[in-house]
Amino acid sequence: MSIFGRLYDLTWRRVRHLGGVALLGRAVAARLVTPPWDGREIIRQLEAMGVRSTNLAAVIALFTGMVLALQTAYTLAAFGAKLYIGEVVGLSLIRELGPVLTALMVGGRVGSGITAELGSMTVSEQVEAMRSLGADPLRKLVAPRMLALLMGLPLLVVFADIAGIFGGLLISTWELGLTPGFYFSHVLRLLQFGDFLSGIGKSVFFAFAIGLIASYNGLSATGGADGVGKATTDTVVAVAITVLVLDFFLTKLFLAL
Amino acid sequence: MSETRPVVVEVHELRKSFGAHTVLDGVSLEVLRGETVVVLGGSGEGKSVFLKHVNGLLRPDHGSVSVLGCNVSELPEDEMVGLRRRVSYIFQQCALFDSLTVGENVAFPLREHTDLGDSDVARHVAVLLERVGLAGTETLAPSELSGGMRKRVALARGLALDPEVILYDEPTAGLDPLTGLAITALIGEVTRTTGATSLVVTHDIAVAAKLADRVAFLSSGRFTFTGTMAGAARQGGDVGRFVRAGGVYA
Repeated sequence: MSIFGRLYDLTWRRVRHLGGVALLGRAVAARLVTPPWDGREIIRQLEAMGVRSTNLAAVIALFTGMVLALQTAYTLAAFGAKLYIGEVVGLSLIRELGPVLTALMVGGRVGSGITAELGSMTVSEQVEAMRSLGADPLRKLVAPRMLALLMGLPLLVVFADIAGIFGGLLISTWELGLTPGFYFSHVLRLLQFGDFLSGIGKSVFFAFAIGLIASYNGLSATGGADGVGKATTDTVVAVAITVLVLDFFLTKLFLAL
Repeated sequence: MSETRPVVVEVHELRKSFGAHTVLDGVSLEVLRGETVVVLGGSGEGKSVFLKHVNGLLRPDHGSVSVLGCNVSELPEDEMVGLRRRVSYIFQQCALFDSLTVGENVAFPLREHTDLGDSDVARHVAVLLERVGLAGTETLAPSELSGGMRKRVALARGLALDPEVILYDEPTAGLDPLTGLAITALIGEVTRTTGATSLVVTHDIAVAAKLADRVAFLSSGRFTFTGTMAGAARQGGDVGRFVRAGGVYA
């Protein structure tokens, strides 16, 4: 095949892939807003995805907060930035780092899990069996995972924000000799409710994107264990890129609002 | 066989390709109510692809598939539910849900399509499992079952809604000969007791000999023979060779 042929082939596959994701997104969105919802399955997924990700989110945010405080204090010491550690840590975490890092880490963990699970079900004909039994796989399999992500990721972001601010507190008090009261007063000084909402708002979009990419890759997996492995890797890469790209556009959007 | 029985499954000029590879190239078949038709053919001839068209898991590129009076090839997916309650599909790999127990697998169609309470569902599940010789296995996980047991559970799940048509995809694939015989006998008993119309896809001549009212031989995307097993065994060419190679017919 010529280089143009290969380019055409690659482009066409990408377009089909994006089209497939968009169609799945529309179909899943319709099922998210119309009953019935499987409450028991949503809670099970929320436990599997959300509760079991709390340690991961907390550790990452805690150390990010600590590093932010250290970097701010030492790198910008010449500008007297030590006094502004609270503002830098608070704003950075709540507006940006909390939602993005949580989405990247949890997206990788949860997204790959969704793809592996749905992919295994697809290649072992369980998804077809569900259809043949008159059940809707999008409603039974995708919607509960998506709803769990939509509820779980914003909560994890709040949790990560708290852990990150606590990390900043540890460095501020132990390393830099600031008092907790001084640190918290500066964290809250510039912070507005809109900042908090913008971080949570981002996490909702991230959750939908993670669920959609993971579900699409799982449901379109082919070729046995090898195919499931490939789909899972694709999900981790696609989730990371999508979260970062989406973050840019969402930041522009929320700043404009 | 009374020819006045209504046609339950009607496939007309079905064609299906995957990319450049044509799998089914103008396949036609009629199955009468209560009849058991076995689709024979070598590996990779498209038998499972044919069967998946019958309950709408695949859509034809050309031609039509009608089951119980519904045009499956044109029915939207969300309108297929009513038909799928009446048509069971027993998958080659059994396709039991890994995350559910045996009991929950068998209960799945009951919970999905009936308003039965927990105790009624449990009672139905117990009866179904006893019917396939697996009484008391409700709490086992599918991973704890042997191949033959998995087939039986899949059959129990398939029988949960008293289907009028049962589609079997390679029901004895991967089983030892004795377990294969037991599953074949169980399918025969189910067919007799329920009166369901059965379409069985297999390359196992022993299964076809035991179950078939008629066989259809699929080769190169077409049915090259339709008739009785004895008639198939008397055929020359690929059909006769394939049937005689099973060792059941001399």
